[in-house]
Amino acid sequence: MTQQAPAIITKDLCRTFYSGHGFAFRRRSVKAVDGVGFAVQPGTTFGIVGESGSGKSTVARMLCGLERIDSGSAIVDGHDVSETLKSDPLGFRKTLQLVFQDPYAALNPYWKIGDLVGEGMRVHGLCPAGDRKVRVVDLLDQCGIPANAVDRYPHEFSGGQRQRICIARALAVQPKVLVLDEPVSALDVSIQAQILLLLQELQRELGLTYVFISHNLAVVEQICDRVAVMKTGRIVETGETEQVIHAPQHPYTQALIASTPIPEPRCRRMTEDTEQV
Amino acid sequence: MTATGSQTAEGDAFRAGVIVAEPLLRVEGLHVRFGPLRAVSGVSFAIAKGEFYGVVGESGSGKSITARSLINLLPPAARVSGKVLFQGRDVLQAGSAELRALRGRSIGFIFQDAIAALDPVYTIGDQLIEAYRANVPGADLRTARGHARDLLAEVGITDPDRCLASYPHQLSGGMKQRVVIAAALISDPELIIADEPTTALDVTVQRQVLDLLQRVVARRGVSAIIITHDLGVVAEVCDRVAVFYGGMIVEEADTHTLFTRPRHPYTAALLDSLPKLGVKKPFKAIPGVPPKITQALTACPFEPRCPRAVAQCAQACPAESRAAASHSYRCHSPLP
Repeated sequence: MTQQAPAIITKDLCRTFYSGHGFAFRRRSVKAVDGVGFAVQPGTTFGIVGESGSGKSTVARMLCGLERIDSGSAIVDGHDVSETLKSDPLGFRKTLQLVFQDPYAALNPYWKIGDLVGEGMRVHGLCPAGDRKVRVVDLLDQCGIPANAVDRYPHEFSGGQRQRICIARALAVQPKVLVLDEPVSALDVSIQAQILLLLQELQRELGLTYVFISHNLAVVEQICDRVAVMKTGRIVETGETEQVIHAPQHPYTQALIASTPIPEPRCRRMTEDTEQV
Repeated sequence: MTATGSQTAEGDAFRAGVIVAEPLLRVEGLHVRFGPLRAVSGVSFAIAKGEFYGVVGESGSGKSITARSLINLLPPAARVSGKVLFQGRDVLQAGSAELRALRGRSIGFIFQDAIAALDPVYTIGDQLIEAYRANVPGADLRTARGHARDLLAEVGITDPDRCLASYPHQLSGGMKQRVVIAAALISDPELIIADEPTTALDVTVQRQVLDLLQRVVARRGVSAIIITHDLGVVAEVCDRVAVFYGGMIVEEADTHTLFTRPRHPYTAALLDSLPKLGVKKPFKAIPGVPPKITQALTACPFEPRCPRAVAQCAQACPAESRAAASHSYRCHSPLP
């Protein structure tokens, strides 16, 4: 396989947050992201795992331009994020879209589904107003939502359906990269698999590049080609998913894998036996 | 199964869920309705002393409402029928004095949201000591404080004295969850109910909290019910499991049987839809959406999503069948 130019390259990304202000409280700083660098090949899925506070969501937000980049650089589809956001913010947002964790908070409850999904097309002038509805229905259909949804409101849909709507909305501007920030953690287990399968199918059809943020190693193993493990703002281990899961090198990765509950009672018996010895 | 010694016989009977003559807790035909919504429809189960019982289900399956019924802690709008017998007394008929004696004293409840369960303006010490003195009237401050300190050490807090003097916001999520567990244990309850105790925690902390719960149950010989949506958690800690769907228990078995030979198609589909770490296999989604609990129970709630549905499934809600003494399910078309 010939190597294409990576869809995303980050180098030495840093972001520091400060808390406290004035003279009564000392200003304290937290390095949320500290020298993060990785590259993602087009059409593949790059996973970022870590626990809360590890900086994984901050990296995602920096890629999207939602968080300032203190130092270092992020290049998405050949364009530097900080520069493009100044020179051509609209164009930048067309290459990269974001799907959030909580589909209940991500959709404006006062807007109809048709308007929510069609807004991106309107803002970017992607298709004439007359054709927009047809295109919205197509998109919803692609994501498994019936056509009659366009005139309904978010509260009429379940969590899984809302996440499908969020995905359809993200796809409306025909992005090349989707940043998925914990897209299934708020969903019921029986629905998680549906959304993951949908994401895989869309990737095959549209050749999308995914950055998949998650705390669930089992989910990451299923859908990511490469994975980076983050801890306190740094990547402690990165590599092919198989390799990271089956031969973790860093003690933190090993601890994460050992802590993940496995739905197999036999595993538990074994640990009990070893404890007794 | 032939038992060789009395101890094994007891152990087997226990593991098999053959309920001993006097279960600690027995729920019979519990129904909970909120106006037109039926949250729980005819749930029955029993828990033996020393047993770790798991309740799994998705949101809206009735698992949390069932848990709250066990200590009669339902919103006023709930219409409840059935029986919840704790040591032979019906919790649902109990007066407020009796309930006060029960909650916190005989039954410890660990809530999902440890942050919300602790009062932000009191120190951990104040809260634990208050709980202890409420349950042991006349206990002096020094004893109460000593007891609280011992408990914090038991739940694995390294510096109990400092923790006692801290306010909740000074502790991490895992520490707060440990404090909440300590608070549930403070009056030596005979039953611990943990409603999603680890959902808000990171996996490494979750592992520690689960280990802690398991240790406490084993050491004190108390019973525990853990309510969760995570089958992995159940497999790790529980002796016996009930799977909730649409306000009913659709399958109940000892953990090993449930995971290796499920009879209900929902249990099987749920197991298939779970990504398992270290086993990369194509996973199958369960099509469709969870049932609406507004509909009357005239059919099997899983029927619209079930790959094995037969005509009968749409006509009548299946009754409970038994595969073994310890294994029951509700299905017209069970897996072999």
